[in-house]
This record gives sequence, structure tokens and C-alpha cells, in this order.
Amino acid sequence: MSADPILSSSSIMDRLSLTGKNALVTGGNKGIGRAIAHAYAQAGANVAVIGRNEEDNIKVVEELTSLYKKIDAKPYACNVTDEKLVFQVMGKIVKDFGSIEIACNNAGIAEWVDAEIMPYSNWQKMIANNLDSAFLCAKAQAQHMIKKGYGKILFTASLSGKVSNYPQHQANYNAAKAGVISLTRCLATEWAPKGIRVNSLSPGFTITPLLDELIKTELGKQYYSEWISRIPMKIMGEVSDMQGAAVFLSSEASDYATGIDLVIDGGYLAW
Amino acid sequence: MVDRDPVLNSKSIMERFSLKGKTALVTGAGQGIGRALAHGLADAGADVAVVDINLDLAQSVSAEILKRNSNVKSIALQIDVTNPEKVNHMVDQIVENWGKLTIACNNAGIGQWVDTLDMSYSDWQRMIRIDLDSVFLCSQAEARHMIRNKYGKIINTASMSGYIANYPQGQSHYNTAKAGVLSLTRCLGTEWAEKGIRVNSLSPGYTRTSLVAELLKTELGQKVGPIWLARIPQNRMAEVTDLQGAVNFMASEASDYMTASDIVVDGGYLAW
Repeated sequence: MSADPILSSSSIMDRLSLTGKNALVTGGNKGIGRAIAHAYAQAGANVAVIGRNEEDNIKVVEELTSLYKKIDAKPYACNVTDEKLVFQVMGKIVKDFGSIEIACNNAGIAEWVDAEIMPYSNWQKMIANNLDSAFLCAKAQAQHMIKKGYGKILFTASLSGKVSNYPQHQANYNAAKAGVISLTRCLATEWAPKGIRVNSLSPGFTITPLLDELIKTELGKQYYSEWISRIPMKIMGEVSDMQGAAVFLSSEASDYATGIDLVIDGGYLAW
Repeated sequence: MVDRDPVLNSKSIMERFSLKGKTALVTGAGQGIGRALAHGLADAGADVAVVDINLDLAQSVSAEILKRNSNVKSIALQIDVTNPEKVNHMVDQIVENWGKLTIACNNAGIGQWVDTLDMSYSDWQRMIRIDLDSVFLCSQAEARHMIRNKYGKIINTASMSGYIANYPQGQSHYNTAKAGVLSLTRCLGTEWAEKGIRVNSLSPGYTRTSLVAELLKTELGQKVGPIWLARIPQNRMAEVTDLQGAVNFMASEASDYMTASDIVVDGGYLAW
């Protein structure tokens, strides 16, 4: 036995901190992505907010820089389904911040369409946005992280990657998210010897601004009660419920976790 | 929407990771993973009851905790977690001392390598009793108290062995017991979800506890060590400290929407 690792390690609170690290969040200007951007900043990281709409990016960056004085934040407009733009924006972020230790690939879209009438273009658009983007971003990020021998990549997957949601039909979304969970395992094992950790977060039903609107509709009200009946905790998740898992998986406190999926779903998958 | 914006209205995530003002117990905390978990909880500000069947070990870890974290309280309890009366007594003593129990890590367990064809029924029964029955007994006693406060966090130490059969060592009773812990976690997580109790588990991969470190020095260890490493994508075993973050997260308010779930910390083992 060499030195006792417990007494010679820094406090676990220090290992959960992200102070001095640079992080990026795609889809970072609203919903879960915005919550994660805030959490990274609260934990001490500088944050690059990536989103398609630069005005929304700037709004979140202003929230971050006004609330958390010790960190820097910058907006980056990018369509993460465009290979060229993805490599450009990752290069620019590395140049602006000097390095990237944490990448949260969270951007995605959702829609409800029955499979037998789903146009092929809807399928393709979903796979491009929710799966291809994960591959492209991770590839660009890893090329940088590998040079440093350390990096944390986090994907936003979903419980929909493990079950088929009810009652709404979303075969394209669910298949894309299952793909993200598989990609997580593949990249984690491939890059483990290079010091890159790759994990995913699977939220359950979460109240985002988008869903908040949807719940007010007739169909939304009907679906809402179905969803709640299948959640053991009987409440939906808030975006703030996803922050802890994101910070944990981005911190040194999770350095031996790779290729895993962390489910935060109020117990949904257990039933 | 803006007035109920949970992002701007929640406490900072670092405050939600803090365990200040909470009281915790860790069974099997006299050594190995349990000792690390007890220290991790204390590092975050929790008062920690160090529970072990061996009182000397429990007292020595309790003393270490008080030395490392002068702002927390710690007690040592000698408990056989397979004894229902003793387990109830464990919870009673903590509540008597500190008024409440917020966090319970049911971690005590044993390991044994024996091929199934050579496994005696008493080997099987002993394993199921210590690694699975104890989790049922402890969870039940803890939840009976926690339900009164409508809040509690139970964290069971499962194992990646609950998902797969390890290679090359034979340990069908251990693996089955740990799969049982994963299932029990799902059952209790859903059963107590509406009562405010969160039940989750930690599944470590191969971990360099002091017992394992000793084992790796033996002739058998020299043989199995390289076989294990070849199947771990990170090509190293966990240190006990690698497991602290996941448990602190599950013990904290930062994971309050997580229940009936499991965190695997295995260097990528299960992904291959």
C-alpha cells in the first residue's frame, strides 16, 4: 500500500468544484442547456454558450456574467449539425479560452409523429440534430482534449433512449437518444486510454419552457396526467434537477466513471 | 414562466452539494469503500455514524473523521447488520444522539470466491444474508424513521457484479446478491417515492481496497490482476476515493429528482 488515498486526497467538495476549468454547452441558451450553463458557472467554470440563436446566447451569457463575477462567459452561434461550423466553433472556443476541459453536448429537438406516416425527412432531421450532432461535436472536442490528455464529454441522452414513451409517438427521437447512449459507450471505451471521459445524462420528463407551453394545450393536458401517473415521484423534473448530475459528471469527482448513463427521472424507468 | 424560473430561483449547485446540517450513517465503514464514503460525507459537512461489526475499526475511522473535519460530529457503532434488532438499535441510537437521520449508506458486505459446484449451501446463505438481507433490514429501519420527516436518502452499495458475471473468479452468490440489491433499490425507490425517501445505489467496478491490494500480491492475485485490467477500458482499478463523488451526489439535494437508480463507477468496464 502506498499513501492512503483517503487522507491524502483533497476534500470531495474541492473535487466537485469546476474552478479554473473551461466548459461549453450546446443548446445552452434555453431549457436544460441553460440550467447546465448556470450550474457550471456556479461551480466556478468559464462557460461557452452555444446555440443557433445568437440573441438567446447573449442573453444567457449576460445572466452568467452578471450573476457569477468570478467567471467568464461567451456566446457562440452555431448550427451543430453542420460539420464545418462545428469544427470552426470548437476551434474558436479553444482559441478564446485557451483550452476546453468540459463539453456538454446537449442541443436537440423533439417532435411527436406516428411512425407509419413519418416523412423520411423528419426522420433524417431528427437523426441529424440529436445524434449526428453528438458525433460531430465529440469528434471536434476530443481532437483538442486528446492533446491535453484530459477531458470530460457529457451528452444529454434521455429515458426515451431506454423505453418507448407513452402515449406520444416519437420513434425518431427515441431511436436517436438510444444512439446517443450507445455512442457514449463507444467513445468512452475508445478514448479511455487517452484520458477522455464520456458519459451521458438521461433526464426523465422535465418542465422546459417548450414543454410548459405544450402542457397548456388540450393534448398536453391529456398527456400530462398520463405521464405523471407513470412517474413514481408524481412530479416532473425541473431543469434545475439536472444540474447536479451535470456538474458531478464534469468534475474530477467522477474521473473513474466513463461510458455510463446517469438517469434522473423521478423513478420512471424503475416501474 | 419567468417568475417560476427554477434556474434563477434555486440555491447554487455547490450549496446543494453541501451536506451541512445533515446526519448520516455508513455501514461497513471500518475499512475499504465504506471508510471512504464516511470521509466523503464528512468532507461535505455531514455528521457521520461509523457503523461496523468491528468496534475497534469503527472507532478508529470515527477518530480519523473528527481529526480531518473538526466541524462535524462522529460516533462509532458496533452493529451486526444481519441482526434485525441490532439494526433497529442502530437507527434509534443515531436519532437519540442527533435527533434525525438524513442519509444512510448501506454498504456493509463480504466477498468470496468459490466455484458454484464447490459452493456449500451455507456459503450461499451467508452471502445472501450479509450482502442482500442486510440491505433490506437496514433500509426498512432507516425508512421507518425517515418517513416521519418526509425526507431521506438511502444509498446502497451494489456492484457492477450485479449486472455481469465476473471473470475469471467464481462468485455466483455474490453476483446474485448484488443483482438483488439493484432490484431492491428499484423496488424501494418506487415504493417510497411519494414519501420523500430517495433510494439509489452505487455500483463500483474493481476497487483497490486494502484487502484487494493484499490479495493482488498473492500468487492468485498475480494471475487475476492482469485479467481484470485487460477488461477495464481505463486500464486501472478504482481507488476508494473514486467512489466518493457519486455517493456525495446521491446523498445531497442536488440529486433530489433521482430515485430507484444506480450510478456505475467502473472505469468503463460495463461498456465493453
